[in-house]
Amino acid sequence: MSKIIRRERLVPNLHLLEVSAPEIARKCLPGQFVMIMPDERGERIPLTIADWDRDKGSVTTVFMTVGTTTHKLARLSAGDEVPVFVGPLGKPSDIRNYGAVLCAGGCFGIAAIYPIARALKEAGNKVITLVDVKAGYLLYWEDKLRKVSDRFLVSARDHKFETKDYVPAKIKSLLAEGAKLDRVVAIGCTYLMYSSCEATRAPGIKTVVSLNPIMVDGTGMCGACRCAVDGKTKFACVDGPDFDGHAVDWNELFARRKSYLDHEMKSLCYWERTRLPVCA
Amino acid sequence: MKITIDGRSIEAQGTKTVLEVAQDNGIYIPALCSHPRLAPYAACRLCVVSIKGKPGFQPSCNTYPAEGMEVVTDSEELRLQRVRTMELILSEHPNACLICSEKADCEDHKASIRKSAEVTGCVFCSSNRRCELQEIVVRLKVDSIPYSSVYRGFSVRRSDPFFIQDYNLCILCGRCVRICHEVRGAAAISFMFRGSQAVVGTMFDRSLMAAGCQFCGACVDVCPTGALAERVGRHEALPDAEAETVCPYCGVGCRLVVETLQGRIQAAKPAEGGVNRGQACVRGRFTLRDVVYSPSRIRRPMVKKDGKLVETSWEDALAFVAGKLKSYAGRACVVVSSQLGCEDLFVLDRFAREALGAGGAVPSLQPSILDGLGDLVKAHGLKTPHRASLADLPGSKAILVLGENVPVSHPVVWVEILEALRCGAKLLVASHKDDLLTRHASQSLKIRPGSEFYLLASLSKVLLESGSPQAGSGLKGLDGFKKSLEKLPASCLADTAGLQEEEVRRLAEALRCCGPIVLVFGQGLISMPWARENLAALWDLAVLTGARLLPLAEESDLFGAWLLARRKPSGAPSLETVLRAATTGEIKALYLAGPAPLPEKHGLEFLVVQDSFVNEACQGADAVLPAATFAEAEGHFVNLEGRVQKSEKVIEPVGEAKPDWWIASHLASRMGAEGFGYEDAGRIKEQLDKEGLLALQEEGEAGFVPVTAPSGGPERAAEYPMVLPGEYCPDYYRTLALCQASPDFKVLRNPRRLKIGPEDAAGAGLQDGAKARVESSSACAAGPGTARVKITGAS
Ligand SMILES: Cc1cc2nc3c(=O)[nH]c(=O)nc-3n(C[C@H](O)[C@H](O)[C@H](O)COP(=O)(O)OP(=O)(O)OC[C@H]3O[C@@H](n4cnc5c(N)ncnc54)[C@H](O)[C@@H]3O)c2cc1C
Ligand code: SF4
Ligand code: SF4
Ligand code: SF4
Ligand code: FES
Ligand code: FES
Repeated sequence: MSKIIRRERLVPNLHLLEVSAPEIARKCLPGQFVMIMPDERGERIPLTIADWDRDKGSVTTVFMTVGTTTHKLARLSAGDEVPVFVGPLGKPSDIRNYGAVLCAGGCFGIAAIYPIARALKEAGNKVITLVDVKAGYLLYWEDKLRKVSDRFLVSARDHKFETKDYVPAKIKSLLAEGAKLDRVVAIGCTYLMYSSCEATRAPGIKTVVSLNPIMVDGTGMCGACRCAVDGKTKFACVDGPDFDGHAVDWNELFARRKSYLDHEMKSLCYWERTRLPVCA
Repeated sequence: MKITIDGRSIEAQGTKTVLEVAQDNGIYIPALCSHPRLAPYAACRLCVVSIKGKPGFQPSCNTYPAEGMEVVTDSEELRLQRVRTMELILSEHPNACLICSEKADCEDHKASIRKSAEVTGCVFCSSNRRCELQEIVVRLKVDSIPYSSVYRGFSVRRSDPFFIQDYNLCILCGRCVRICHEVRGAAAISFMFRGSQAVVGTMFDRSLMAAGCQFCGACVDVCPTGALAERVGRHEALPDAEAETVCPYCGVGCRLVVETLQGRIQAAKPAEGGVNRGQACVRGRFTLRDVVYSPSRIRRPMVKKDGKLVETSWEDALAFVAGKLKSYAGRACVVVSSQLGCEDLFVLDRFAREALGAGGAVPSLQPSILDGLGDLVKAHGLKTPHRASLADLPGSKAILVLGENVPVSHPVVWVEILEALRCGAKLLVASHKDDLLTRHASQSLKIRPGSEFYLLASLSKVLLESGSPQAGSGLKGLDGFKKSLEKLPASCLADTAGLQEEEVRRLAEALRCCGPIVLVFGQGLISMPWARENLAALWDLAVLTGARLLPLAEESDLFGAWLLARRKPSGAPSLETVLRAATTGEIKALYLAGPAPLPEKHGLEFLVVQDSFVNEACQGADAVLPAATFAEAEGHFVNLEGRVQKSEKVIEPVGEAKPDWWIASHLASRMGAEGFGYEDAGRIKEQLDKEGLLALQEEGEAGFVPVTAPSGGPERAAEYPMVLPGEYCPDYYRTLALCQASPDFKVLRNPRRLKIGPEDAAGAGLQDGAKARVESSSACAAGPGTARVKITGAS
């Protein structure tokens, strides 16, 4: 059992979850994730570690409500306990001094990119952070990210910020402006990662993505998280989650992530009707 | 008149707006706040057009054509104006996906993520790809919005049954508010606050339940956005097919479009045309899916082996049942539900007579108001007073409602009554209760339970005394009727109904008004021993005033069942006689294709249940045969106007269920009866048509029938001191109660509730919410009725 220290809705659909987990807090590194189970009868899901406090012994994740498990998590409050909170899992991100690194994040990826940007900055890189939001009101962690970035850019579909271009278009315009990019790290929905890789493929900029296939155990045992990278089968939970985005078979990943859509919808409908009773 | 739209000369009527005329002629004008069922509102300003001779732009949705009017609907100026308007509307709406450069690509790659808790873009929205905003954005080619967008930050309201409300998506078009007030008369929702604070809501921010919402779903269906979304299926992908059916519940026979995804029902929505004119009620709109996929569905045939029901094949089950039933020919009866299609009822009736030697299939809701009228026709050789259709309601001047709580039992009839009220009709109600109906009434008379006869007779008497109305004069039987009225004891009249003479007089005056009158009546009028007396009095009042009758058939095919029963030789048994015969052992086998309250002790040797749902009777059954629901078979239903409507097959039968006609014809064939080789429902319908069985021909002379004072009244009053006016409960399909099928419905209406006055409750030692025990004087509690009862607290 792990205790929830804080659960807070940051912006519509995105929640912060801070959990007391001293063992994980002590060891975790940027790019790693935890497996969490919201209740005894629930499903285990992976969430990227977005921050930690080694002294306090707490680990922070940010998640998006997209299905039953995340809806359940969104109803937890401080003091509640979750039966499973294990980690750190996965290989830590490769942190070195590359020169100039663009860290692109969207949705939960805005938080997930934070420890990576921080570490890259500490390693002496010039960090350009590009955050993608649908609209101005969906931006969170701006202060945190600014602190670890040399340049901080936000792209929103509305006209709140300097650009409304989607990430790949912004990458292209940065390059056109003459910005030097030695590496790109992209985290967010599969589409964001995929399209970022498409933008960096031609200019040949190494692009690292944090893959998010469906995971069950997160320890290399079940094979659910199989991905094809460079024509080889990889287990995202132990061989990743970071991979070279130009080597990933995206079509397979898109397809695999959709494979249980029908069940997921049924599960959520069932949960809503049975666990969220209407008023009398 | 002639007007010109975009240079085209067009014939227009003054009753349609310029917007409607344009739409009728295939000319597109974007519009968000207008709706065919609603009065012009002109709030969204998207539908602007330019009209020659008028300055600026005019909203076409509240402009009516005038001779020679020249309208321009499309110009660069207009487009720009509309785009500006749309940009403003969208600035307070999650608009990211609408204007995203990746829109097309995203659709290809992303799985539907409608499962999110809050909608921050179309990909998360249950309206995605069927949204009016999306359509307009594409049409107007809006690709950026020059304002930073505002999220209003309301929490999503999920605590009401059936649908959720996310007013962050609301564009304040007002359609929901207006349909709730103008068309449904519920007025559950309104605009709260003004200006930038404006939001749709309920008074004191109560739940919809508490605000008097009927959960008709009309608001959900008119909302151009995803602000109002049905709870069930909200997260699912879009439907891939649809079919039009007749709603299986009540006699209105609403046409419903049932949407399916991969052969599974997702949702049912009222069809635009048809009797219901785009409206439905909570049952048709929100419960069909739960009913069809109820866990109580019978999926496979079962037969009793060693005292237990075990699943078996159709082949075995049919052989077993046919073999057994053969030995009971002449000592068997068939009970059917009038929620089955005409094809089913016809074949089951033939099966009863030709294979089982019974008098015919007996409808479970019997006698019905239709039977009651039919009996009067037979007894007096007269023609039924004029029948009303739903379309007669809006044009009428007075509507008298008796014996049914229309807003609950037949909500779509209620919608038409409300329309009549808006057009100036008077609603007259006589009831022992206070409810929505009496609240809308222009005149509402509080009468004692079961005393409608006296009111009706008094009305006729008053009308006759003050000079009989034109309509009835010179018709057959008038003198006899007058005499029979005189014979009624004076004390029987108004004061027995608990009324003052003045009240009756005023009601009579309202009926004397010039203009069409409709008498709307339901099962409550015949749920007492003097049903026939009531109907006779109603009949005479109709003939006297020239009013039309609208019998509120309770079940979807009650009219069909009645039409088919007309061909029976007289003396077909009633459900009550069947049940009595089952108790005494006069009949040995019973075949149930409809609900029947079997007595605990009976003398039956062989019981077959043919139904879609496991029900109480299954326990004692020797065989259980899974029947398809309305959605799984094609069929015809006759609605309360006598309109024959086709219901399409929507999905494949659940489990191994088969259409009711299929089961009955296979059994009949196996039992040696001839002419049961039906291959499909179409063949049966052909036969029905050939024999003219569904045609409503009412011949004969119009005239009056004599009335007699009710008898068979209070018995054993000392022992059973209270009168319990049973209320017809419309919330079931075949043998399944809707509150059992749908958890949402259970929150809305759970029929096992007893309403009792505070003094009576105190006398019985009952407190609010306590369990009560009701004992009635009549042994057989078939159907709703007004009963003498004793009420005590139950442990
Ligand atoms: C290494 C890794 C790190 C992740 N980090 C985060 C994070 O920090 N924040 C965040 O919001 N999300 C993160 N995700 C995605 C997150 O795990 C899924 O959104 C979550 O599992 C959805 O579960 P659900 O029951 O709410 O939704 P469901 O309705 O079950 O599924 C919604 C979608 O989520 C995906 N999904 C479902 N189950 C799993 C699973 N067991 N493993 C992975 N994906 C699944 C599927 O593509 C599915 O279509 C991460 C995924 C991986 C693999
Ligand atoms: S209501 Fe329409 S425009 Fe708004 S989010 Fe939903 S689908 Fe998109
Ligand atoms: S469901 Fe019907 S009654 Fe309820 S708010 Fe909507 S329109 Fe009004
Ligand atoms: S909830 Fe829908 S119908 Fe009602 S005002 Fe808002 S957008 Fe219009
Ligand atoms: S999650 Fe089971 S092997 Fe990766
Ligand atoms: S449709 Fe005419 S103003 Fe809205």
